[in-house]
Amino acid sequence: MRYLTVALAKGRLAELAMELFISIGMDCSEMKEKTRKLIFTDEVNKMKFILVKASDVPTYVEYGAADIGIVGKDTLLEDNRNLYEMIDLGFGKCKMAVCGPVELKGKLDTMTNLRVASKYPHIALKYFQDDKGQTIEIIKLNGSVELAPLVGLSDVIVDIVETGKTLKENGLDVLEDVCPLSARFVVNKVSMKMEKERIMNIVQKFKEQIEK
Amino acid sequence: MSNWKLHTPNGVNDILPSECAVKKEIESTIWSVFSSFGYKEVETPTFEYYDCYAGLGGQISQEHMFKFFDEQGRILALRPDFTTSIARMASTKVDDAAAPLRYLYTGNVYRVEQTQGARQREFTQSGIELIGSYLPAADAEVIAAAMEAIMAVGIEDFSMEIGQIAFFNGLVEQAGLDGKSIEKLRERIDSKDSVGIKTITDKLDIDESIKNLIIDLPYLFGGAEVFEKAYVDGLNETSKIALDNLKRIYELLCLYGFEKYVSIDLGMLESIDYYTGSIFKCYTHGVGFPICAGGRYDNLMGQFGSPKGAVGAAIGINRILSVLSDKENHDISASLIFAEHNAEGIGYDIAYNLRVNGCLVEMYIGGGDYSDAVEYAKSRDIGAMLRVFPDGKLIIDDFTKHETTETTANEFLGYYDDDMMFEHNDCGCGHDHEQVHDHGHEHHHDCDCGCED
Repeated sequence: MRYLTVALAKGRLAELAMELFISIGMDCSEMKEKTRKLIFTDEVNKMKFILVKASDVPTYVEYGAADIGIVGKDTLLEDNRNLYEMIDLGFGKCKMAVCGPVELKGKLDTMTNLRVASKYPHIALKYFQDDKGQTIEIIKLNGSVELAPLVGLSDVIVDIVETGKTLKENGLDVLEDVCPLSARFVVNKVSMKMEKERIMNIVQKFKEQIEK
Repeated sequence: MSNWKLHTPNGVNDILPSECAVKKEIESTIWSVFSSFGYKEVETPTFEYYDCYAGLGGQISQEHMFKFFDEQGRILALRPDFTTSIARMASTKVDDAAAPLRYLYTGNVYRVEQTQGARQREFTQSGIELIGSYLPAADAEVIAAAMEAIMAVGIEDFSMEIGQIAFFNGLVEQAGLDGKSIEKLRERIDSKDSVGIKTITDKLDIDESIKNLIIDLPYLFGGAEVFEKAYVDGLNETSKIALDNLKRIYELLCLYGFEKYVSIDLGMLESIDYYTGSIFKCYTHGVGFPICAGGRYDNLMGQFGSPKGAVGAAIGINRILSVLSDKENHDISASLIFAEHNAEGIGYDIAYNLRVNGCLVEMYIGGGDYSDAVEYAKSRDIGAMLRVFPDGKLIIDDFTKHETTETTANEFLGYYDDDMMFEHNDCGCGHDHEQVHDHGHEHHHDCDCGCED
């Protein structure tokens, strides 16, 4: 039997995903140990788990280097890869939102030359240009995006909002919701065809677990 | 300033001899299979007017084409595929009465792709187009020919998925969706995103059985049992005809003997503006993308003024190559001729005679002495060395048999005897063969030595 390879987004998502795999009878004990290893094998079920950076998960899966991936919807939206997005795993829930100083609430539509800072330039562009029909200027940042409106780099930001705590502490607020986010189970299109039974088996079991 | 002259641009590659040999072999195998189905090879220009490729519902969007201008400012584009050009050619240059037309092609296509990874901007496609038939027998023939070709190159473990665009078109027609929602729904079904599909169907006021069918569409893949699930009550004419059509294609493919390779996927919905009926993709282990794809494109011929049914398939040679990359490259070893000073003429004569008999012959041009030539031969795939002296003496060093023979050029070439003769020919191609040849021709001997084996 071939190994099925699962790419997990490093961090909290990987931990939650592992729990899900354990709950359907996979052996992930190797991963529980504190180690710097990036690849773990379950010889019984012929599974391999690899730990990669979240934004790389869709790449591994699209190219077939991994058959399955567990990754946030934000990464999928930003990358727009050619994959099967089979299940909403229901964890890692948060939302993508336009945030900024509270006084801009309700005024975004009337602003011309809106400057938007984001780690997710494609999502921001798609939301403003395709969905709202508004031309904007995108400023791509790699972190601490909340800072941008405070120092005048941008008018607003498009970012992930979980609790909204960071925003509040920096005097920002959610102005508009872009979309809800959560972890997704994605599958390479070729693997889906070539390993139909094994993958659908996991999908079925996951769905049962999630409904519990 | 960077100096780019040592590099190839993103997305294009050199192909070195060992890989090139395998690639050409794959191309020629595929060519033979397609041509055995009665397809005739054609060539179309590497670039055409952009308008040719840009027609309504073109399969490749403009941001994926390499464009440039001619001297009159018209936009040209490197061909992003062959189908469009062949459709243009068939519409404008071929008599209508000649249908059905069967064309085959092999060549490179060019696309502007994001090249962070394995996506190429220049790649080789080998494919067929069957123009002038609306019948399922045409679809089945093209799919069958593609599968024969894939098997002929040595891929046994593959899966050919067939779908039907018109079935989906029938469903959304019934649901009364507008263009934008259709695209959204298509995208979500194509990526098997059930959550996303439900958010669209929840808003629809349609027959419950149709609604459930749309939600189930991503999972409607597998064997013949898919048809039973898809034939629900309340299907409209479009969907019913589409399903009948796909079922017929499937049955015909089973009659071809391909049952174990073919499965149905009604959720496969790519390029729906371009394809009008059947659509198919072929997958195998070891490559994350389809190795072959195609479908029915009944609207394309009409855009060039000659509406006709047409169906085609294209095989991605580079992808096949990556699957077969561990395939052994059985190079035929060459012979190396080392001519001593003033013996070049005799050397060339021997080389010519061996070459016309199908042997691979290299001349040593390294400029060194015989021991240098031996060194060279050992570093290469050389089966035998022929050392020629000005007086006609010839020493043959057969590396595969570890034999050294001393003879003369005349004897080796069979010039000395007027009679037909048998001769043992050590041409170095790695085979023992006795040859019969007729002597007397300055630069020719007729021989059936079969060296090309």
